Amino acid sequence: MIQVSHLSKKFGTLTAVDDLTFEVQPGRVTGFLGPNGAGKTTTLRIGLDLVRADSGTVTFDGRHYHQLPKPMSHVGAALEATGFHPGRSARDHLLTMAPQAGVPDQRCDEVLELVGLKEAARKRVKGFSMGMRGRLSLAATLLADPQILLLDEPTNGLDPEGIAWMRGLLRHLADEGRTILISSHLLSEVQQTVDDVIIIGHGRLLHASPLADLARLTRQRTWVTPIDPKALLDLARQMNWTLERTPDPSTAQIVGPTPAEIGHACFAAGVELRQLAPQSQGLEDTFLALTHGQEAIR
Amino acid sequence: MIAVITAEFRKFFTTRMWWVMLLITVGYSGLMAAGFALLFDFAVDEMMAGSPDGAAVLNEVLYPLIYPMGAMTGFIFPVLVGAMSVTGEFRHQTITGTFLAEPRRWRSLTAKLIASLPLGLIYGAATTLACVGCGGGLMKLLGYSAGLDKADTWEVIGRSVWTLVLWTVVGVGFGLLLKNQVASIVVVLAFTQLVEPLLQMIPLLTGVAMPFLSYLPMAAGNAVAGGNALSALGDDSGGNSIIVLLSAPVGSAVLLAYGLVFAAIGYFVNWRRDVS
Repeated sequence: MIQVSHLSKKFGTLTAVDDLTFEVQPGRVTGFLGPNGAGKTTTLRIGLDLVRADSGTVTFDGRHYHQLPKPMSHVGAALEATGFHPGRSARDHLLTMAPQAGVPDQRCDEVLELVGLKEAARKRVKGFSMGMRGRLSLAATLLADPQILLLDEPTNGLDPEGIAWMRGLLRHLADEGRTILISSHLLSEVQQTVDDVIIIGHGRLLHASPLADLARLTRQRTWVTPIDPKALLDLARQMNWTLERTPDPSTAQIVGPTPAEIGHACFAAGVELRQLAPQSQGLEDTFLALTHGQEAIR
Repeated sequence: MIAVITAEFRKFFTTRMWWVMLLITVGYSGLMAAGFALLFDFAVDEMMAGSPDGAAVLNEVLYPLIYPMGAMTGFIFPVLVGAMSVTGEFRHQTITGTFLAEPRRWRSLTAKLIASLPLGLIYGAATTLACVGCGGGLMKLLGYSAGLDKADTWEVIGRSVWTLVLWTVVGVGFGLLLKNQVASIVVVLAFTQLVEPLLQMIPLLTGVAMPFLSYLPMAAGNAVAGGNALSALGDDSGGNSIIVLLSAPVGSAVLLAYGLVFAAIGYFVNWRRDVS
């Protein structure tokens, strides 16, 4: 389990993280979401003791990163697809980590095979694509078989096939009881992968829940095309509905009530409708609406 | 700690830098020593013609100058290697991985310094071997003694290796102090090729002894590598030494202090900093 508790960090006058508190549960894949600059990477870097917090703590199963005896065997972290010496081969990159990970050298070959880099193992990283670098980062995190994985934008540079593969691997690792946190600035990138979401903006927590609960924040929108627009207007005023214009002058959008509630009220008031259709709103819209707002919604 | 040091060795030997720099060091030092041997032969022919005794005396004086040639002129390469073992980590952002593997920063820094000792030994041994091979070999070919039968010569050889070990530590320390790779290379070259040589000229030009100059890094390094043979060259006609070199142990201590003080400052200024 990862616990972030009242974490704050300023860079000069810029507040990167602002009294952030959340928990990441084992056995689940958790999406750590927010627009670029929301403070995701800073939070991860503080957790890994790369950046000092102004106040607050991040612990992994109750311990700070620097208190873990062999940190790489507890927490596997991949921060962006950089941090490789261009002249070092993929295998050599892992070999430089093996002593401190406490694993024998052949484990390097195993993880390279696992991430699909067996053929490129002895090639220098200089010639690697973004996707291959991402795979190598992932291989490095898996080297010592840690219980906790922190992956920063892991799908960056992966093709659709790669994303599907990553999804399957993370699911498998979570099912083994591991704690997995993956950051992304797009919900849609990880929507099919994550069980829980933690959404931050301007360094503050906006929302934390299972993915399914995010849907409940969605405000229902319904397309309505009345025979008599004036009758609908009267009814809307009476029912206190919010009516919005649409490009089609004969059609309006009602925000708030469900289509069933609208249908019932119209029937009772004798307002005949030509069309009554729920607008399917994606979670991404909910996510964007959340992160554009400044106020925390829980 | 052993794992951290092992990782440092692996980092060092898995890029091309180490052997490219080793080839340069060995080639440069070998050439310098060979050049000096040729110069010696030329000097004997020109100045000591018909005086075999004079040649023999000069021969004696010269081993201590030929064999530490690498330590006295080629030392910048181990310095650069040591510095780049640190600056390269910042340049390629591998420092993130280094700190993830060992979040206790003082331990990762200590490992870098300890790892630099055997690496310095490799450069020192190869460089000195090149000087003995090229310089001494050429002396032998030209019909002089290579002096390898003398204990003094072996002391000179040992000092040469030791000097280069110390220089490697200075390099690591300097890399910690100035973590920008390009800047650190430029400063090392500028200081060793221009700044200190110019400063050391001042007493020679003015005739005023300036004892503090012997505590500058290259003077300290030359004290360890060349010792008395160099001091003798700086004597004025009255036998008063204008270039005063430290004793070898003091020179070693001064050079080591440069490395460790640089490293200590670098620890607080760069190494402990946030990595983002």
